[in-house]
Amino acid sequence: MEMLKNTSNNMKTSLLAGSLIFLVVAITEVILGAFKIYADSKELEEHWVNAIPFPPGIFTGLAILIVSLVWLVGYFVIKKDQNANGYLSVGTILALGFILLFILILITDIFNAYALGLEDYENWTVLASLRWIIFLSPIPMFFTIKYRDLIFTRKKKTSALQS
Amino acid sequence: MNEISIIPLGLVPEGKKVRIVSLRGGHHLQNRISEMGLREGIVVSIIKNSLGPVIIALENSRFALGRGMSMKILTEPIN
Amino acid sequence: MSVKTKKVKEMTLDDKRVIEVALAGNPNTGKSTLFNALTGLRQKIGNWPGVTVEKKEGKKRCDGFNLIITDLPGTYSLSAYSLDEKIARSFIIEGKLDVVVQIIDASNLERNLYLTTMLRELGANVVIALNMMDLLEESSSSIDVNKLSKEMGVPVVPMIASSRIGIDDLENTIESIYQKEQKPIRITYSKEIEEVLANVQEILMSIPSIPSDFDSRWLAIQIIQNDPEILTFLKNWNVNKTIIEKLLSFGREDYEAEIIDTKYEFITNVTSKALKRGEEKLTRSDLVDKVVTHKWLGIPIFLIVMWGAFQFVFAISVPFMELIDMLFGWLAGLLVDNINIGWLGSLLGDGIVGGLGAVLIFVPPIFAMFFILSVLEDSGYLARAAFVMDKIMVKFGLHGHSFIPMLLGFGCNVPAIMSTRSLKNNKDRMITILINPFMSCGARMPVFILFAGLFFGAAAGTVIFALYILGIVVAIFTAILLRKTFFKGKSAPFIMELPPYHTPKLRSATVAMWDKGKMYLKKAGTIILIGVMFVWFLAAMPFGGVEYGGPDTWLAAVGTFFEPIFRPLGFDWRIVVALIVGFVAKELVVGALGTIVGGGGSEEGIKDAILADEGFYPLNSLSLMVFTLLYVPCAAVIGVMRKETGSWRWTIFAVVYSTVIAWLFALVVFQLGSLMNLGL
Ligand SMILES: Nc1nc2c(ncn2[C@@H]2O[C@H](COP(=O)(O)OP(=O)(O)O)[C@@H](O)[C@H]2O)c(=O)[nH]1
Ligand SMILES: [Mg+2]
Repeated sequence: MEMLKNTSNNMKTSLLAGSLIFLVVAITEVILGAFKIYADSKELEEHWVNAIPFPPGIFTGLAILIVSLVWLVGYFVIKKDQNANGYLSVGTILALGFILLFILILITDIFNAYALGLEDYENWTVLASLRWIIFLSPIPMFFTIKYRDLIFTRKKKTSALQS
Repeated sequence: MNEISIIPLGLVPEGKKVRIVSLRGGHHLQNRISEMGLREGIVVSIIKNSLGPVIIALENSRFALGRGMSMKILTEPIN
Repeated sequence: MSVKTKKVKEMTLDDKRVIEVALAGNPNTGKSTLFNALTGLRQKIGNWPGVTVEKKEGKKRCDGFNLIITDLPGTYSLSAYSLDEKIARSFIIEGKLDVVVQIIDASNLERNLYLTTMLRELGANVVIALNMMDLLEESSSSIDVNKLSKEMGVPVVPMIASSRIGIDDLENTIESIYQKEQKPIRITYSKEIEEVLANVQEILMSIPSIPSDFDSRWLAIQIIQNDPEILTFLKNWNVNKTIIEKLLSFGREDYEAEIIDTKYEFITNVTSKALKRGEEKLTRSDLVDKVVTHKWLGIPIFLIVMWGAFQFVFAISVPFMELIDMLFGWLAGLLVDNINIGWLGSLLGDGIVGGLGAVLIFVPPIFAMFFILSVLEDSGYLARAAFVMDKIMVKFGLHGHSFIPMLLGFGCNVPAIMSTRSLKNNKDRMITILINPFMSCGARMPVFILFAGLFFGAAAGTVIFALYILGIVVAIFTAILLRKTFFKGKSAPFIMELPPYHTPKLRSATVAMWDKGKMYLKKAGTIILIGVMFVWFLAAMPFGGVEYGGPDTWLAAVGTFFEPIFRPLGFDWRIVVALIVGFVAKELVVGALGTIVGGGGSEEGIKDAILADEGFYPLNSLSLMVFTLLYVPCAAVIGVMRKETGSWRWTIFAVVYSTVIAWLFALVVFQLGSLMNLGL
């Protein structure tokens, strides 16, 4: 019982911390992204937003925001002494899904820029695409390692059908 | 079991187990959902019941029932 | 008794025996998984006779015999109340099958055995493939396979289809029983019902025209339950009118419920001997469900999943699209430059290669779309999305079931309209079919990408997004309108099974992508190729001296004829031509424009030509996109609508309605834009 209590306290802290960090990232992204859209629509090439070496995105910000909210709700669920494994899992799997997506985008960007030499990629740097992966990775990775058994079903050897 | 304890599935709180005592609605509807396995006498547990459809568990499967549907299934609590 | 005459068939390739097998089972029991495991890619996909329901057939070579396997639609029962059930049932009766393999989800034994009792009553030679043994073990229940087999009177093969365990056993079991007569299990109904059955059977025996495929007890059982198909059967056998009336008079409304109950009693008796239940607990799926169907989080989660899916589609397809574009541009140039017979070079280069290039360039995003949708479906999430959307759909007079066809419509409207079969209520189904074309399919995307990209620069993404939203809004508006007018009444009660979550398998997503994407390739090779050649022909006629695609051609004549109708939308004859061609398939629009404005078969060339052309500017390209979004997607959709609604009237209604709506919206966009003088 004591141990259960510990794990859940542990998870409570993790969820809250993870949620708050993502929240900060998300809000920054959304605000900067809004500036970026404004600057683009007025064609202000000199705007300070464009000086940021990697372009922010409002939608990505919203996606991160939602992951953050899932964990936050999970935190309150634990506080009510209920099982929050689902919240931990769903938030983490969503985040991992986005990391996979951004890795894919990174690969295609590199291909488009170097192999195809597309015009749109003149001002592009690897860092621009890499940054999301760097921002997003640490917390979900940490959760994945720490709570692997809660998040993923591990293939148990089935004794049922060994013929 | 007295009459009062019979309540529609849609009003059973989350996490409770109930036995289906009768299905309302036309013959046709009753028969179709019976064939899916939701029939009188079986025990289901309520996985989720807040706004929107209800999720119930029957053996290892899960069903989503619309609000209207869930009010047509009458149940009695078991302990 | 058995429904078929046993025979040994010869195959032309080698003279091994051929055993014909059908796979039956409830939805989500692993039917497709088993089918793919058995047949690999040796499958043939067609339609069931007379309906657009997909029929999959496959072959499998085994030691000393060959299997021909047909995948039946997933059903809970065989009572013929839905199209799927009718198809499965008549195939089992008339298909001359040797064996019916019923796949059973071992972790849902009781529910699944209901179908078994029906199969056995029908007289099929059944093998039970007891699938998902891993899940059974996880739930700490257990099944005594031998007892189950004995009680049900059929062989039972435990398996884990997704790990390909038990497949060989299944093959061997099929071989060992296919020539044996199975001893029928016979469920005894109440005394009253048995008496009625005996009476009905007696009458049936005296009718010589009933084919021997049909078991008289089974027929009698169907007759007293008022089976909706029986009348058709009897009429087909030319049974005398008074006898039909006599037979039908035995039907009573409450017999069916009693028969269902008795079957379940039988099953409960079996499971009480063969099944040991573990204790119930909240599964991982339940915990996840609480989150993804959460009252506040449900919809936001759904939205970001969709956003991620669209990002995936674009990211993965851009490089492929560029490569295809380069290849076809190069090829078209090569042909035009090197073939000396002028018109032939032009036909091959401008017409065929250029036109096909304009179509094939959209293979990558369409395949990617099918891939990701199938991953979502496989994972189990799509069913939850329907659940989440139910709350919203109810407001428009529909329910969650209608949502999946709408979502599929973003890929292609043809399979989307076909998927409405899962709706049991006819009014719901009609509405869902009629609004589907407003969901913007992949084929419309090229037009959006081209024009939004050319004229709206950084805002292109937003413009395209807004178009999708407009399509959804029009769909919703139409749904409400139809519900208030032609399809009055409440929508059917919502009930659907939520499959447990699975890690999606790359292999099955790839197979699904290929299955569905193939349709698009086929379309490219037929309808679209012919369309492209036709456009080329009109653009090159009359022979001699006219500039290809120029204002003196026949193409121009057609466009000019209709131009007055479209003038208020800002379209000149060239856009009109492209839109007319778009009736056949939206994929042709960009290609046709390419033919008319020139551009040498490559996307880049078309872009440059359009930019240089004064007939195209932001405002009319916007109204062009709106028109393209809303009018009939393609001839194939018209065809499938006709089949699925079973009515020309509604099909024509949909065509006219959507074209009028498209015209009106484009008019509003163009006129309002001109008035406000946005400088577009
Ligand atoms: N755990 C487990 N999953 C399975 C097994 N067989 C199939 N599945 C999964 O069950 C899901 C539904 O399978 P599918 O073949 O699409 O079912 P269908 O609807 O009957 O065609 C898929 O995600 C499969 O990967 C099995 O034996 N064990
Ligand atoms: Mg399937």
